[in-house]
Amino acid sequence: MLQEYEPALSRLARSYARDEADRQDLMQDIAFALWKALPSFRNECSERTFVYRVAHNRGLSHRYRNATSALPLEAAAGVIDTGTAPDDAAQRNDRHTHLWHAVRQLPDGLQQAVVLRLEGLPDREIADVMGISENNVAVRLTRARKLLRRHLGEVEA
Amino acid sequence: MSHLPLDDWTRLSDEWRAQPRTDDVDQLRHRVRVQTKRLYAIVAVEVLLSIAAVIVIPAMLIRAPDLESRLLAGGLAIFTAVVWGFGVRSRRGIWRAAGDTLAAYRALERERLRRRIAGARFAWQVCVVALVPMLFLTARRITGSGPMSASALVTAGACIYLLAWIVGGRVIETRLARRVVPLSDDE
Repeated sequence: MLQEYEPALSRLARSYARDEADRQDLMQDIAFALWKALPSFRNECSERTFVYRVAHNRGLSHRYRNATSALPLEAAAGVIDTGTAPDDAAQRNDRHTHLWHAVRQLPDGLQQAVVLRLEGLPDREIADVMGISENNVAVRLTRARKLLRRHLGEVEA
Repeated sequence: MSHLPLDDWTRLSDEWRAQPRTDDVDQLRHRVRVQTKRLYAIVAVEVLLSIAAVIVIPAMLIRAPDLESRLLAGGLAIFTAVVWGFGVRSRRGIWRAAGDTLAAYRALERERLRRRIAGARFAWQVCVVALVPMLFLTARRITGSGPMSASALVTAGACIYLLAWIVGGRVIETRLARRVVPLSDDE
């Protein structure tokens, strides 16, 4: 199960973590939480929802425990700065980093919904994971989309 | 469902999921560091061999009993100088990344691979050039002094050594060239 969801959980963990070391700690935390929670999984939701729910809750606990707030985005990114190399790989990585920075700048509630949306979850599943209504998810995503458009638009300009 | 164009979230989602993993960055940094250490080791060996050549070749020239031996020593000196010059040129600009960026490390890795391929190609090509006079010399010594004479055995041994470098160089060049494609996929 971990192998299947590892890339997505890694990205999710990165959005809650301060830096690379913190992300690795959180990943271990999530893995342990999944291992503990798996025996109680009774297929009341999809496996994906179950995994994201556990990861999301661990991420929230982790963040509030560490009281992350205005952290250097470069440190939180866990990825070295892309620099100004003109080749395609640098431009692609610039877009990743800009998107990542834009997501990190969102308020917590919006960021969580956006990360789950970016991982491909529909509104209903996001609502399940976050424990809120589908309508609430739609409102958060609409607000987040406006902010993302502004952050990303500023960068592209 | 949230009201926004489907392709907006889809596009962002594709970008998001295509992020390079931070583990990949750490592995890339580690690979580059290992390559740098290997470069230092190669340079150290080349320096030692060059020092040995600087001592041995003049001694050969001074003690050479005939023209043939002097030509051999002269050829060895030229060979050493050419190889040393190529080595110095091929390592220019690849000692460190241009910056502490993902793109810079990847560019350095690609450039080092290209230089290694060029180095392997140079090695076997220069050995082909060196093999020709060496074969000629070996044939002369076999016909002149006999096949089991010390001088014939030395040059025959040198021919085998050069042949091994030619074959090995080609094999290394081919194997390294295959690695260029996966690295280029990053571009």
